[in-house]
Order: sequence, then C-alpha cells, then structure tokens
Amino acid sequence: MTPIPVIEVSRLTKRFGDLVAVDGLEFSASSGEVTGFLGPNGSGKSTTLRAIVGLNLPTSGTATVNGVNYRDLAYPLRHVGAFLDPKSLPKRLRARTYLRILATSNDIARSRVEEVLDFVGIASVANKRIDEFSLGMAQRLGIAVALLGDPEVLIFDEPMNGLDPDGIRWIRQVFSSLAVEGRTVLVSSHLINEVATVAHRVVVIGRGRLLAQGTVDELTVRIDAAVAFSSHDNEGLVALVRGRGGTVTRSEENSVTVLGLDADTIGQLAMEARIVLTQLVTLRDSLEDSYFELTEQSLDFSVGH
Amino acid sequence: MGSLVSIVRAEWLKLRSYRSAFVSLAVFVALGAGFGALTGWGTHHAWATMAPVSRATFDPLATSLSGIALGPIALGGLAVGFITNEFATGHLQGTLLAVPNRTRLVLSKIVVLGVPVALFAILTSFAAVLAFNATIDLAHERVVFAHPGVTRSLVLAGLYIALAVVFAFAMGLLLRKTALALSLFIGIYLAVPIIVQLLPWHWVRVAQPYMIGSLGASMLSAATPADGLNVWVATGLFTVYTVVLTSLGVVRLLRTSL
Repeated sequence: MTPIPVIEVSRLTKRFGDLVAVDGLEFSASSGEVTGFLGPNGSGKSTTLRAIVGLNLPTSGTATVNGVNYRDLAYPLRHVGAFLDPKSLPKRLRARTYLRILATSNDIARSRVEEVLDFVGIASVANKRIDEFSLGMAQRLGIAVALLGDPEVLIFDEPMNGLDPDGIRWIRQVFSSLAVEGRTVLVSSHLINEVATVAHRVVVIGRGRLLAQGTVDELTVRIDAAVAFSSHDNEGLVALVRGRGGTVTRSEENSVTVLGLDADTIGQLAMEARIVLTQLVTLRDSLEDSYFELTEQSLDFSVGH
Repeated sequence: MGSLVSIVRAEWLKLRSYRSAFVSLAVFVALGAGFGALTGWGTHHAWATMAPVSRATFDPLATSLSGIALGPIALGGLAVGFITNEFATGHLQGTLLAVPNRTRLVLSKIVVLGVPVALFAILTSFAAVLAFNATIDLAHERVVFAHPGVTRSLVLAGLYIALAVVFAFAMGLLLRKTALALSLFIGIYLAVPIIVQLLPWHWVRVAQPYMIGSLGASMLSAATPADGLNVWVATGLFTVYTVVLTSLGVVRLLRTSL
C-alpha cells in the first residue's frame, strides 16, 4: 500500500498575542505509517496538534485531515481519534460511562465501548472513577478514547508519559499494528528514542519551525558522518588525512576518528601509501545525535532570546 | 441534524452521571413544595391577626410559589457547573474533540438543562400549590386551579425556572470560573434588588421592574403585580436577557483556543 498524505499542515502559523507558537510550519503524515512528531518542550508540537483537531484556530495557514477541517466533521471520532492530554478525562466520571458518553455523541455502537476497554486492558477497572486511575491507566483509557470510533487517523501527544517500560513496549506495538492496518498515526514526543524504533518517518520542529522531515535513515545521514580507522601506521595515515583536508577528532592508541573525508578516500590514501588498514568504519551518528544537533540551535536561540 | 440529537443524548447521559445534579434537583423540589406547605401553614396561623389591607391584597398563588421563586438559587450551581467544571478540569478539551461544533455543543447543553428543569418546575409548582392548599385550611384563601391565570402561572413557573437555569449556565459559559459566575448569578438575584432599594437616587428604582428578580414575580403571579411588568413583557424580557448572555458566551467560546 502506497502511503498517501492524510494529515496535511500547510504554512501553519499560530500566534498567541506576541508569542509565535507555530511559524509557517509545513509537513504531512501519511496512511500506513507512524509519523514521529519531534521537538523540545515548548517547540509548538501541542499547538500544532491542537490546530489539526480544531481546538485552536490557525492565525494563518491550514491543518487538515483528508483535506477537511476537523471542525467540519459531523462525527469526528469516526474519522480521527486523538488523545492529547490526560487532563481532558473527566475525573469524576467512571471510565465506562465516559466512553459511553463519547460513543453516544458520535453515534458509535455501545458494543464498541467494551471492545476498546478489552483492547487496552482496563475492562476490569472500567467502573472505577477516573480520578482513581494511575497515570498509566489514564493513558490506556486515553488510547481507548482515541480508538473508540475505529478511526483511520490517530493523533497522540506525548503518549509515553507516565507509562512503565511494559506500557511503552505495548503502546509501540499498538502504533505499529495500527499503521500496518493502513491507518495514519501521528505521535509527538520530546524524546526521540521513544519513537525512533516505531516511526517510519519523523518530523522535527524547533521554535515552531520545521527543522527536518524524512525517514529515520535520511535524518541520520544528513549529519556529516565520521570515519574511524586503525592501521599498521596510524601516524603516517593521519598525516596524509590532514594533507587531504580531513580533521582528526579523536586519536587513541588503536583507533583514529576523522571528519571531512569518507571511508573511500581514506582507503585510497592508505593503499597509495602501502599502509595496511586493519579497520575502516563509517560511524553513523545515532538518531539521537542528529536530533540534538538539529534542535540545539533552536534551544540556544530560545535561551538567548 | 442527526448529530445534534446524538449530542443532546450524550450531554443528557453526562448530566445524569453527576450525583450533584440529583442533589440540586432534590433541593429544588424540597424548597418548592416545602415553601408551599410552610406558607400555607404560616398564613393559616397568621390570618386572624393580619391587617385588613394585607388580607385584601393577599395573593394565594404567589405566596404558594414563593419557594419556586427561590428555585434559581437551588439550581444555579448545577447550571453554572455544567460548563465551568469542564473548563476547570480540562474535560472540555475531550468534549470538543467529540463535538467540535461549539455552537451545537452549547445548544445541546441548554436543551439538556432547560427541558427537564422546566418539566420538573411545573410539577413542583403543582406540588407547592397542593401543599399550600392542604395546610392553609381556609377554604376562601385556597388556590383555585380553575381561576383565570392559575394554570398559566404554573406553566410559566416552568419557563421561568428554565430561563433562570439557562441564564446561570450562560453566565458560567461567559465567565468560566465556577465561584465567580455563581456568586454573580446569586448576587443578581438576591443582592441587586436590596442594593437598589438602599440607593438614595430615585431613578434607580425605575429600573427595578426590569431586573431579573422582579421579572420572576411578574411571571409567577396570576395578575400583574403592583409596579411590576405585564407577564408577557416580563417573559419576553427574560428571554431576551438569556439569549443575549448566551450569545456572548458562544462568541467567546468560538474565539478561544483550548
């Protein structure tokens, strides 16, 4: 199944008074994929997600699902399931009652309430009041809320918050299987490792602007990769590398790390000088390094601002 | 409009899920019927010593419904809280995800509050009159249902309470803080008429009949009260106040980012 852009954010700008929370943001999330929506705290992720589901109106630009504004959907829960904030759960109601109220409001069969309660594993406590729930149980209820209308589009804001490792593993499996079913899944996080293993694509923002978007691999390659080598004559090879404009970033007894030259060039240099290479590796930066590198600038800027 | 019906049903389910809703209604019924019995009993005992003027102007219907006139105070908390609680807890966000059309949401909440409350108020008014008649024990001062204007007043009691409840709800919608909206609402009912009486300027008293508390007196009497408005003018005016306040609340809600 070819991914088709479903959630489309186009030149989205949202100002609150003087504060520009989102600034000309442009990205999309496609069907059959989990899209990771990344950025430091305060970078405008929540504002963007809220614009997509009609909780705030853009100052300019658009945020649509299947080309439609969320506010124009008569039965929104059947198309888009979103869980943005555990505070949006009514604490004084019982979990089952709340799901029934939501189902009623969107003409969703009542049997669906029991299905999602079973699916997220809180059926046995569904008659408790929500204020008796732990944060982890509340997150599970939130996922039940999002899945209630069996929607093709799912949006979650920091869904791993408050989950234990088991819960995080479970939620990743849920996201993957939803994408496999052809749904569009948009998941925000300020921690890249939370979504790196599950996201097909990532969108990185900082200070309300798009910093990067692409597959996890593309994002990693963007960053200048380092090359490490060891040889029978490290000193000689280092001299040659410097002569070609490479920068030695680390030099240990057995291994030298170089920036600015690729493995191919270094291998060529070694062969020409008849130096025996015992190791030659391109060090791919971890996604986390790329993420830090991307967002650091936006953070620095905000601190100095 | 299929979805409007669904939203009304959902809001009804929500309202019924809160125990405080039943408590407020119980207080209202007890207040309405209880005042009916109390005023009947009190009048029965005071009749012999009452001044001739008081006897001549005695209005059995208005007296029996004096508990209903206080009804807005019993139900104001329920009405204000039906929207301010959602603002206070953040629950409104969840509601708006399910119902993004905010005008429809407000309309549904008004229907869910107003219609049952109106029916309850009509029944409670009947109960109040029956209790009054049973305790007054003076055949000539009982409320006679067949008299002109009596049935009308009992139905208008329902409308009056419904309008008051929607007015309180609209105040909550506009102000969003439970304590602020509720104290202002009760202030308008109880404090403003007293303050107006105390003010030295004569012209302020001209405004008295147009105030919400006085409108209630006009709507609940079989005859137009002295220095009060005609019943239909009062009903219309209260409706206008409520519609205007609700519209302001809706406009503010439509402009808000959540």
